[in-house]
Formats: sequence, C-alpha cells, structure tokens
Amino acid sequence: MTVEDPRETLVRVEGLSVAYRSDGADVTVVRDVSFEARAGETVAVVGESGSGKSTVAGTLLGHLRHGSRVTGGRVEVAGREVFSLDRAGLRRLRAHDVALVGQNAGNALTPSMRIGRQIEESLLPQRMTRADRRGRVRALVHKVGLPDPDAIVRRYPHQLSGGQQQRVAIAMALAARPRVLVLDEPTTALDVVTQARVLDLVAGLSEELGLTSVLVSHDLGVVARMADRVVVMREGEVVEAADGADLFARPRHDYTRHLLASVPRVGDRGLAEVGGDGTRTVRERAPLPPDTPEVVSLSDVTISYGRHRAVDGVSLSLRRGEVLALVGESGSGKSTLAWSLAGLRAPTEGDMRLLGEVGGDLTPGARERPLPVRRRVQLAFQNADTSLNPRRVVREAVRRPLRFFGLAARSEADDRARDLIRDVALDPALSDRLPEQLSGGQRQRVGIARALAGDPSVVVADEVTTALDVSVQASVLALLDDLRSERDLAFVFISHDLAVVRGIADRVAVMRDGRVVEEGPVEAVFSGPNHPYTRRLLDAVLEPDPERRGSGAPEAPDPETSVPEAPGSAPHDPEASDGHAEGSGEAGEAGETDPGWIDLGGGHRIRRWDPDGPGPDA
Amino acid sequence: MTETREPRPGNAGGPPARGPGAVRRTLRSLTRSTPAMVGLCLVALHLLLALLAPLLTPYSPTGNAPDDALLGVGPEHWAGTDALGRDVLTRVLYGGRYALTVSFAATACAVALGTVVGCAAALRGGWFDDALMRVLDAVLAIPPILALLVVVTVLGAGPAVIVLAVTIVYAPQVVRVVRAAALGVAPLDYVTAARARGERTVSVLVREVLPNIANVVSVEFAMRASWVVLLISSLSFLGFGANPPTPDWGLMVSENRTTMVVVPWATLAPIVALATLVVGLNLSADGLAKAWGVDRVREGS
Repeated sequence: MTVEDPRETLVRVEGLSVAYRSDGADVTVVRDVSFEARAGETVAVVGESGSGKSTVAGTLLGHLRHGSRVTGGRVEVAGREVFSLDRAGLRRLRAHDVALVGQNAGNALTPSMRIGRQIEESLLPQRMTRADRRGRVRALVHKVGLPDPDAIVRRYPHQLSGGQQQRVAIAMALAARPRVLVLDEPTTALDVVTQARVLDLVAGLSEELGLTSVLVSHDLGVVARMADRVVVMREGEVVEAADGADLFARPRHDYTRHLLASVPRVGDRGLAEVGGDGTRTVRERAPLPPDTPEVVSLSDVTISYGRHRAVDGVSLSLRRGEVLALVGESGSGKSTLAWSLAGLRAPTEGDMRLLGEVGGDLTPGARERPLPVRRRVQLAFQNADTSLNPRRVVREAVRRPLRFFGLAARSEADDRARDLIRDVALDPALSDRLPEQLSGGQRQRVGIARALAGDPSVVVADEVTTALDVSVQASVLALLDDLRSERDLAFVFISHDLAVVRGIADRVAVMRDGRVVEEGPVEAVFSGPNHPYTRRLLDAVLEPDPERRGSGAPEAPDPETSVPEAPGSAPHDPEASDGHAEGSGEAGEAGETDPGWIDLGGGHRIRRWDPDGPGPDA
Repeated sequence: MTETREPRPGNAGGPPARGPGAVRRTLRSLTRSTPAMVGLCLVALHLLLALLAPLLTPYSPTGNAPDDALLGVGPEHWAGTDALGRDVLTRVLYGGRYALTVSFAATACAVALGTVVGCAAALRGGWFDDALMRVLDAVLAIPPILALLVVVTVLGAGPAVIVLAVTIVYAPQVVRVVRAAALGVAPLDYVTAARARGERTVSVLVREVLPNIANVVSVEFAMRASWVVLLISSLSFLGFGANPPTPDWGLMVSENRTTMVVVPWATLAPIVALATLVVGLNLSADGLAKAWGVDRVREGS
C-alpha cells in the first residue's frame, strides 16, 4: 500500500466485474474486485466454493468461462490491459508474461505424449534450436526437482505420481519464463505430505526467479504458508484484503474471522465450535468409560488384489460410541479396509466380527450378511456430488433403506425419512428437492441421514468432509459428534487430514502401505513419541498461522525427487524398505503380536521400523 | 426373502423426478434448433397420417380394381394407381401404419433387450462381461442384412419374425452403447450405497442406474428406429419382408418399379414417404442428443 514502494506493479485488477447470462438475465459472479501484486510478491485469493476466486484467476490470463463476460473494470498484467488485447496480443501475453498452474495436473497433461515433448511445446514460441530446447527442458525438469531428467522426459503422464505430475505442470508454466504465475488450487488434489513438498518447491522457485504469483486457494493453511498478501472473497466480492501476517493475526471482517476459526487445528483437544462472530470454543471430549463394550473387531484382515496386498494383516477394534480415525496417504489401504467393513469387498484373509446384542460375522460381502447384521454397518461417502441419485428426490434416498431393511411400514416411511432428515439438522422441507437443488453440505447431510436410516451401530465415514468448504466441514463434524453421543454410534472416520482427526476422533490408527504403523488414543498419538511416518504426516499439516510456518517440508527424503529404479516402477523410497524388511521378518514368526510393536502403554503402540531410519522424534 | 419391493411413489408420473426445469430446458433446446423441429414435425406428420389413413382416403389399400389399372395422376387418384388398380396414395398411407408399427415394435424389443443386457454386463462385470462382449463382437461382425435374411429364410416372413430378426441384429449394438453409459454410472457412490445395502442387481438397475441413463436410451431408440425402418423396407424390397397384398413401402417400390415409366408416382410416393420418415427420425435423434448432451456413438453408417 505504501506509495514509495519501488517495485513495479505487475498485476493490477481494478473494479473487475464478471457476469454470465442465464435465462436472459445477467448473473454477476465477480463484483467490483480490486487488488494488485508487485514484482516478487505472492498474493493469495481465498474463498469458499462459489466465491468467484477461480473466475478472477482466469481473467489474469484473459480467459473467461463460456458465456461469461467482463461487465466492468480492467485487468492489467505486466503493463498490458488483458481484455483490450487482440488474439495475437493475448497469445504473446500467455507465451511470455503469465502462466497458469491448474488444480489437476493429471488432467492437464496429454496422456499420449511424453513428458519431454509436452514441456517442449511450451517452449515453441521462443524460437530456439531443437538442441537448445532439449537442454532447456532438461534444465526445467531438474529445476522442479524431478529425478533423473533423462529418464523422466521419456515417460508418459500416467507413469508419474500426482505430485510428480504437478511438478511437470510447474515446469511447463516456467518454460515460458513468465513474470507472473497464476496458481489455481495447485495442491488441492494432493496428499498432505506431497502438498507440503510442492508448496516448498513453488515458494523456492518464486524466490529464486523473482516471480509474482497469484495463488487461488480455499485452504487457509496453504495461504498462510505462501502468501505475502491475502484477498478474501465471498460471493464474488472482496470482503477483506490485508498483509498475510496481519490478516491471520488480526482478521477484521467477521467472515474472515469465521473462516479462520472454522479451520481445525492440530492443537485442539476436541471439536471446535465456531460462533457467528468467529469465536472458537473447543468442545471437551468426554472420554469413553473404560468398560465400554466393543462393537467391531478386526483381526489380521488382509485384502489382496491379485498379488498386491492393499490391506495387509490389520487388527483393530472399535468400541461403542467411539470414533476411530484411519489416517494415511492415498494408497495406504484405508478406504479399501473401510469398504470391506461395509461389505463391498470380502477380505481375502482374516476375521471381521460385529459384537453386541446382534452379533455376526462381517467377513462375507453385504449380500451374504443377514439383514439385521447388514444394517448395523453403514457407509457415508466422500463426494457429495455423486453420493445421491440425481434423478430422485432426497427423501427417497433416506426412505429406501428404511423400507429395504424393513424398519418402517410403507405408510410411515415418508414421515420417518423426514424425521431423519431433521435429525441431520436439515429443514425437512428440503426432502422433496432433487440433489442438484441442494448445496454440497446439505447433500452430505442427506448422505449421513441415509446411513443412519439402517439404525446402524457403526458408520464408516469415508473422507466425508474432505470435499467441503471449511465452515461447512466444521458443521458436519459437529453433527457427527452429536450423533455419536445421541445414538451411541461408533464411527470409522477416514481422513488424510490430521487436524480434522484431532477434533473428532477418540482413537487414531495410522496406515501405510496397507499396514497399521501406529495406533493409540488421540491424545497419545498427537503428543508423541511417534512412528516416523506419523511424524511426517503431522509435520505436513499446514495451519492458518504464519508464525507457525515451521520447517515446511519434512526432513525425510523426498520420494518424488529420489532416483527411481526403472520407468514404471514405483519411486524408490528409502523408508518404504523398512516395511518390506519388517514384513519378511514377521512372516517367519507367524502370529506375532509383541515383537513387531513397541507398546507405549494406554493402548498406544507403534510398529517397529528400520533402526537406520530416523528416530521416533525426528 | 425379507426384501420388499415397492411401487414408485404414486405422485410421480412417468420418469421419476426429472423436475419441471429439466423438461422445460429440453423442450426449449429442441424448439430452438430448426433441424430438430423439422425432424419432430416430420415424425409427427407420419404418425398422424398413419393414424388417420382410413379417414383420409375412400379406397381400400388391398382391393384390386383392374379397370383402373395404371392410371396417371388425376383428381380421382392423386398419385395414380398401380398395375392392379390400387390407389397409390392409399397404399402409401396404410404403408405408414405397417412401417411404423413393425419398426416401433422391433426397435422397442431391440432397445429393451439391449438395455437390460448392457446394464447387467456393466453392473456384474467380471467374466460375465468379458464373455458377453466377445460373443457380441462376433455377432457384430456379421452384416445385418445377411443375418436378417438367414432368420427370415429359416422362420419364414411375417411381422413377428421381422421383429425377432431385427431384435437379434440390433440388440448387440444397443448393448454396447448402453453398457458404456451404465459403466459411467455404476461406480458412482449412490450405486455403491445400494450395493452396500445388498440390493439385488435388478433393483439397483431399475432404481439407480436406469433413470440416469434414460437419456442415452431414448436417443438410442430414436436413432435405431430410423435404421430399422430402412432395414425393414429393404427386406420387403428384396421380397423377404411383407407378403404381397400388404401395403408396404419397400414392397411397393419393388412391385411398381417395372411400370416406373408409365406411372412414376407409384414408385416415387413410397420412396418419398420412406425418406421423410428416416430423415425425420434422424433429425429428432440428433436434436434429442444435443438437448440432453448425450455423446452419441456414431457407428456403422
């Protein structure tokens, strides 16, 4: 804001308004938005879904969604007014001055084209010789921290991991040596650990190359990590703009305060409740009485796909009214295990039992389970967009299991369905709507009501809050917690976000490569000591608090950047070897319980790892 | 079984809960597109003419009148008469009835069978899907007209046989299209939820999958119908379809082509009727596909 700032202003958005036409009327999606970014600065545009933040990001490249148009204001990038440029001018702008890194690099890369050629394509406007281009591609690949440039340029996108794909996308964006980088949710599709690494890379490169970045994100943790200045948007308007540190320390607008307060923190000792003015009160978790009976027990469950063991000898138990969190990166087997518990895939080996007044074997798939057993274990889904049948009113989604499990007569099924919809804190009037007429959070609640319709004792919640905005996430978490205490429900809560887990769970099981590496009460797991893998997950959590920026990337070697053995094979990860070494050791002593584990007391135990690896407190 | 089957909620007539908005959107999209409107009008006109045929003409479509044979176009016979003295226009109008009923029945059978099998393949997956698709690939390798001729030669002509033959020939193609659409729906969470409840494949299909691929099936129906009309007429033309007194367009062309020089309209009228119906069905199918955003698989033209 200071007038004497000598740095050039590279991005200037002034009074920008964007609207699209629908049914003959203009709908404004962005209203009178202004901000600017000086050379070398990172400006973050934050907001929940529907805030218009991505539309703003698009305008920086002169892109508008089909049917939209600028109804007012101007966008200036690198001294040129974007929307007054002709085609050639726009091409020049995109070729030399501004580049975009999108959310899903997997979709942005052409599947049939080798990585090297894709990066080379973005160098074409620069009229270099072929040899020069090749050299530059290699340098770029090296710069974004991808291993073995010679091998990687010959690979196809599907042979790379999500994090590596995102690195390629960054390399392509940097190829044109842009002055302005637009990052549209660059890490949303990634794991926490991978996210931390990619953010480090972007931060490092911005500094090294003096890039001006505009970062669009819904994740306040990411924004706190990256941004010098923050613009908070809501329903197309800017509600607050301030320096990063200032905004997180002293948010002025109620909405910003509310948003910040809704973000779950690793430090919370229970579920945070957020008041309308953004005050946080942490709901104290009532400990389960020690004599609470178990409802589900799993022993040595193994689920194989061919020769690959997605879940490998997992033993867990779940008590009545308890929330057990399964945590791990994608591919850790946590969802496979949960789906198997819900009866969608029978385990290859091992035993799953439902205990209590209605006991039974859970090993067979849903169809073979007796109806009273089947309805005790219910599933709630991650993706609110696909969890409800778009052609049926939402009441039908809840009514069907009621009728199917014989829990309501035809005459009262509708009323019961309405009651359940009320139980998940929705207006029963919504029950006659189609899913498309509800918001993501409302749909997610209907999905939970459907799971409750079977009157279950265990609900398997598969990343139910991951796709939701933070404020909605907070309310859904509160709902789950209420249901747990009202109905004595046990939850298997699957998540990759440890901060969310901290608030809701009683016990945590950390999974990696199909095995549980650490298990224990939530307090014990969060206070340590930990398995190095848990440590890594904990370190990767980003909180909206710039002072707590921390070291960023965990010190463990980066699997994305270490040298792979051969194309197509999984990247070599030094830490992965401990699992295998240990596995072979265990196979020798069948039926082991103790030797493989370090027992820390109070139910907290850690799987032994390779002593050459980093220590538990590393 | 403890399972209970229940009828659809009584208030929802027709496809459940598509919402008035969706219907209006579809209609608007259709009415805005000139080709779609032309197509729908042509089909509607054919339906109307076929329905009202007895009211529109005083002649019988099969009654011979040797005295009036081979008359040219005139006020009595707008399109002339054929070699047996039958009014050409009357036969064309009644021919529409035959063409529409047989084609509709045949298409309905092919699409219904194809839809059920396609959905089952998509939902069951595994070896069932693999085996079925390989068998269908083999069936698809046989030219349709050849397969039809074999069936008709073995079982003899007649509307029922034609319907059966067309079903056999076209169901595999419908299976492929529907299976592809159902595969897009099958992994979605609401289908998974039904599976986790342990619902039978049939109820998963009827409740969860079918309503969501109804648009694909409808477009497929309209598209197939135009092929079937053409195919059935070709069969009749070749002498394997309708038996001689039946007023059938293909048959009329075949009967009257020898006298084409004397009474050209006896041949031209059924051709015009056939062409307009096929074009109308085609345009309507395209219009529907656009209105619903269905990516129609173009195949074997």
